[in-house]
Amino acid sequence: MNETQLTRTIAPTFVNVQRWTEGVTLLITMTILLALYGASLYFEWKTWVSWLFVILLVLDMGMSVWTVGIAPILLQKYWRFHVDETYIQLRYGRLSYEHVVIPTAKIQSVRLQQGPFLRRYGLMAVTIDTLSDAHTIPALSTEEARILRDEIARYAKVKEVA
Amino acid sequence: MMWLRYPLSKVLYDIADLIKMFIIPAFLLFIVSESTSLAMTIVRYLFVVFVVLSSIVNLFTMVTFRYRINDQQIEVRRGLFSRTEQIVPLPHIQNVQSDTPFLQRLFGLTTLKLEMLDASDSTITFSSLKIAEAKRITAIVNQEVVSELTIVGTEEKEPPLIFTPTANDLLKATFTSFSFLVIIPLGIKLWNMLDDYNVSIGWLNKLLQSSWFMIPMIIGIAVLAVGIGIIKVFLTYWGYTLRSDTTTLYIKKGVLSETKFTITKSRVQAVVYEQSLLKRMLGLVSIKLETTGELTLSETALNEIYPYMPVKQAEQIMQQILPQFVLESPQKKLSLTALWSRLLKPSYLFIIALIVLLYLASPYWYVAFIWPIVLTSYRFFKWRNTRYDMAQSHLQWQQGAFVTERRIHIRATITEVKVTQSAWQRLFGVATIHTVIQAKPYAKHCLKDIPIQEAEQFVTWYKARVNDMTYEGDTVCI
Repeated sequence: MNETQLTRTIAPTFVNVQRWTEGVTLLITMTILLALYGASLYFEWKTWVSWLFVILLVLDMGMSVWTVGIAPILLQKYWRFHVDETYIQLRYGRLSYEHVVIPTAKIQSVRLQQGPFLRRYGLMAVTIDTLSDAHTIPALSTEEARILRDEIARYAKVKEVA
Repeated sequence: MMWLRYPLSKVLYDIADLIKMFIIPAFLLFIVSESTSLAMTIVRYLFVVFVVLSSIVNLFTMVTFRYRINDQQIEVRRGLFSRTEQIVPLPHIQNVQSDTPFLQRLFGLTTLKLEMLDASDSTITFSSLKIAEAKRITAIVNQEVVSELTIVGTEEKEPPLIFTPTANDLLKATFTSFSFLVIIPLGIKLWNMLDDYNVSIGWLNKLLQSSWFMIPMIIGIAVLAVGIGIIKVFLTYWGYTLRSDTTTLYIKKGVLSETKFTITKSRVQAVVYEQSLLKRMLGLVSIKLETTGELTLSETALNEIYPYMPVKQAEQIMQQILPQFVLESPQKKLSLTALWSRLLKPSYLFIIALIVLLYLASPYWYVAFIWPIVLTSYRFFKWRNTRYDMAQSHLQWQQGAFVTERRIHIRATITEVKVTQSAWQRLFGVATIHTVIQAKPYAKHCLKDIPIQEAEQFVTWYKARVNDMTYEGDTVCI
């Protein structure tokens, strides 16, 4: 298996970042659903409508065990990548996985990004733009991300001739 | 260097084109329809305004469009309110196409398109040029391309002819358009069924019951269909020529409306052979080239080299024009496990249809089972027709349930690959491989359900791409 070749991992604190992100999303959807439930009672909508909101609310809370509790751990644990002069490889996922191979000569640009949660943990995301897609390494320490960006940018300067 | 404009005959052509476009609506609006309702009056006024506006636009194009060309670059200025000035160095032009619809031909005019490398605003279109002027521009542009190689002073010498269809070939090709003749036996069958149930449709019933009417009618429809098929194929492909030199393909087709285009060989990213059921039976194949840049002109996809190529000849021709894309047909088939994974995959459409039918029309619940039967046979044929192979620097696969498509990639032109495995595929130990090639801007293709080991090999195979390339760079040398 190729997994053995890909050794670099993403920052362990990415679990927390992902939990924050998912947690906030959960909070927002719950607020909206609660507001809708309140409205359904106040304006006396049909009873099944109120029930629908309650069911969605319960489902949302149940799902959060997965999205906030378990998924971030798995996501971080099974994220691998590898960068050398000729190829960038990304491989992520366990139950279902993706393995991307990009020749460095085909990279169009490299970007660094940082949202509020990433900043809190001193992390940055590295996005690699190619002809067809944008591939993101979701969390590296700021220093590591900068080094990686410069490294990739250097490799990407190479021109290839078939 | 002098600025040039469109020829004056463009005005005549524009008028003729306007008449051609608007004569039927005008006839309907002003002569056939006698309604004086408000809505109709508004439509009539709008129509007049539209025609006037179109004429004004044509006139402004005529007045504002200017161009000049020398042996280095072509410069174009156009637009009245928002002006565009474009300078293109000749080596940046990758393709020259000319298209001459019948009406334009009457005025001795043609449409010329120059296609460039880069993605944005990358085509210069001359909507009406004198044919001689179009030839002059083409020559200047092509000279630039050719002169890099050698041969100066071989003007007007046509590159070697590779393929032109014979009358026999074309007659055979017309058979592919006969498929709709199937409606005749089907119609008879349907008619008998209606008859059995004593369904009668008045006059139609009377007419159709008399066989002295039915038989000539069927023959008449058949002759008409055959006639139309033959005329259509001959008008498009009679006199079709495919020429080729070391760098470029030259294609010409059309009797009444003539289309000429060139394809630079270095731009070819993949070769695709396409066969419908009927073409497979007749031993014909359609050859398509996928290139960087989209070749479309007057609604026809121009990347289709020739749609009715005899299979035996196809390989021979490809050997002559693009030898790097010639390969034995792929041999590997998909595994039985792959078939199971596809057959067992739940169809959400079926489940939803079943629920809806049970809820709304419960006596007819079994109707929902038509879908799984169709789906299963589709999945089966698709599985059975799939072939693939990874040879040295080539990747090829053939897919499709009824219309099969065999595509050949060379490793150097694949710009990115991906292997994916869904949770469902994981159960069966299969995975999907994905490729990206440059088009305008890119094209993605995938082959589903090959064994996971081979998908992993695919990554290794792709990484050996380094061997196909030479690298030029400031910092890294390999």
